[in-house]
Amino acid sequence: MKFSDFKYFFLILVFFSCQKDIPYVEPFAFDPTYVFLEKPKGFPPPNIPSDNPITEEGIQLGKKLFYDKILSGNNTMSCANCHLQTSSFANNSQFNFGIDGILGNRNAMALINLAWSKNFNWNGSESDLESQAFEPVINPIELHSLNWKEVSLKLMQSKEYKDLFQLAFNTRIIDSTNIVKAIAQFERTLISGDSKFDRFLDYRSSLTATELRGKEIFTTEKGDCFHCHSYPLFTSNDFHNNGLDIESNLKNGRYDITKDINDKGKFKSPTLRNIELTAPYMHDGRFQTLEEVVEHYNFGGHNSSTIDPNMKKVGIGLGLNEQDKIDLINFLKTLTDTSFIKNSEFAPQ
Amino acid sequence: MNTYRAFHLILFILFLSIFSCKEPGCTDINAINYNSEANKEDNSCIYNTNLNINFRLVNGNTILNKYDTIFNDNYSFRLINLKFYLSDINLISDNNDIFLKDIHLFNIDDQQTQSLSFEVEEGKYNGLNFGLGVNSEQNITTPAQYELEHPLGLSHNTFWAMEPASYIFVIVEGKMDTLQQNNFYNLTYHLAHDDLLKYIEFDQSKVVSIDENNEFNIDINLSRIFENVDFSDNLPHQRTASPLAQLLMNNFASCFEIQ
Repeated sequence: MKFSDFKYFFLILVFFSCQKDIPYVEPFAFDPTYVFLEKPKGFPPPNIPSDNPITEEGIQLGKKLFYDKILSGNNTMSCANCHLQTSSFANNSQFNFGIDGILGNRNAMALINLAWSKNFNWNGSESDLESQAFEPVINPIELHSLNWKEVSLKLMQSKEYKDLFQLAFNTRIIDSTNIVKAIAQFERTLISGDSKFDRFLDYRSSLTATELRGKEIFTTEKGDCFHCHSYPLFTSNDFHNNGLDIESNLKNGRYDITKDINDKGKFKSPTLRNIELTAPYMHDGRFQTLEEVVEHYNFGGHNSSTIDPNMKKVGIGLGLNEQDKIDLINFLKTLTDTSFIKNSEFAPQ
Repeated sequence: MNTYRAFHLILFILFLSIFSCKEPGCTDINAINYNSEANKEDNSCIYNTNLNINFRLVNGNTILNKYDTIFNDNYSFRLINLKFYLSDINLISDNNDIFLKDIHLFNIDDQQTQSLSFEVEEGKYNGLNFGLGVNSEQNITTPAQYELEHPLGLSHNTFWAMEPASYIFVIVEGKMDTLQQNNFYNLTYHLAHDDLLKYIEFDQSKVVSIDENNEFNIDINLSRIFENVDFSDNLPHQRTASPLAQLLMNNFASCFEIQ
């Protein structure tokens, strides 16, 4: 054997001996921390979709996205601009402006106990929380991103977001599906169940005489409120025409989704939890105060073809005197859960 | 043949006899009584088969839908909402009742609740029975104990949470015109009390067999629900079985007719 036969062998040896040491990178191990959503006393198990279990990583990512203006077309607004924690994740304006200065036409709903909802938005246009998050981001009168691809591309430019998506969903590819999943996970943690009334039911607090009288009005035919706002959620999660408008002024409401003429004028009954904090009221924010709301029902509301059968005093009125109205409002105020609006877990990092 | 060979021949014949004995039984693996050790089919196989119980809302001889109006001499009633519970649904047989389902909620808004489907053993049955309402054991539970969409779950809005708490056995809501002047007012009856639970039994012999369309068809003739009802009477939301509540519940039970 000649030396020339070995020359290539030596060349290869030299080449590889000059390679820098390649650092060892631990392969990524997807190991999210699953979270068991603790339900308040009296609540049933929450509705958690099997394809979007709640994890600590998903919650943190969802919260970051919720508060991040990057979701809007010009990076000036986030979900939190219309859903403020201090207002129980509702908004104290009748309507809100989107990024283009266009005013919306629906009062922002409070984000409370959504893990127990079966429909979302005033007309129930969405049947799950993940789907609900799609629309506002691209809606021209809301966050008005051009499309979800634009949003994804913006997020993909951030190493931090890629890292967070990897931790939450085991992928560094950021798409709309995982974005809304993360937001939905965070929103499901927005649980309110520690109001004065909850503590009263649990024998940890007592109600005053006026609050007790108000409870009596709320839970009997005197006020008849409980039909659409029943414990523990204080919403039926259903759609009702509560006599806001006469026949000729009925807004479409649920009809926009079902195309059933019998659904005209029907809107989702919102939760009354934290109602003290979420003025103005109704789908169009027409009532500024709880006093105006109570007065609407006390006067009886306007009859129409789709008026809810449980509005038994429509056109007649409830017959509440001034003290009754005060008592009822005092009871409604016992549904306020201050821990909800102060919970740092819901606030941005 | 020598003794040795004879002995082996006898052994061989014995061996053949033993192992050629066939054990009779059901050899169909799809049968309820499949016998894995049987090697001779004896036509004893029993199968499960489908049985449907279908509910149909009617007004006399006419199908009644949500938003339809029931007309008679005394009133016009436009039906908007109807929900009711059936509990402890059983198939009646010669030996003992066959339990089918513990609780079911009929909801006029949900087509799927208007029919029940079961797998039952084929054979002859004598009818059906069930409770109209929620039984007392179920009625001390609350929606917090069930998934949202369970019949006793929160999403159906069939629970009174205020004391004394109770499930609402029957919800009838609509618009009533007693003056027959096209002057409708809102009318709701929510019936809830342990004493209001009614038992309904239908005697109807039925042979349930595989490959047949096995069903019980039950009409709910709502034209009877307001018989002798004084509409000026109030029905407050209490857990007391008022005379009006009893009357309505009895009337509603009489609406069920097996076809």
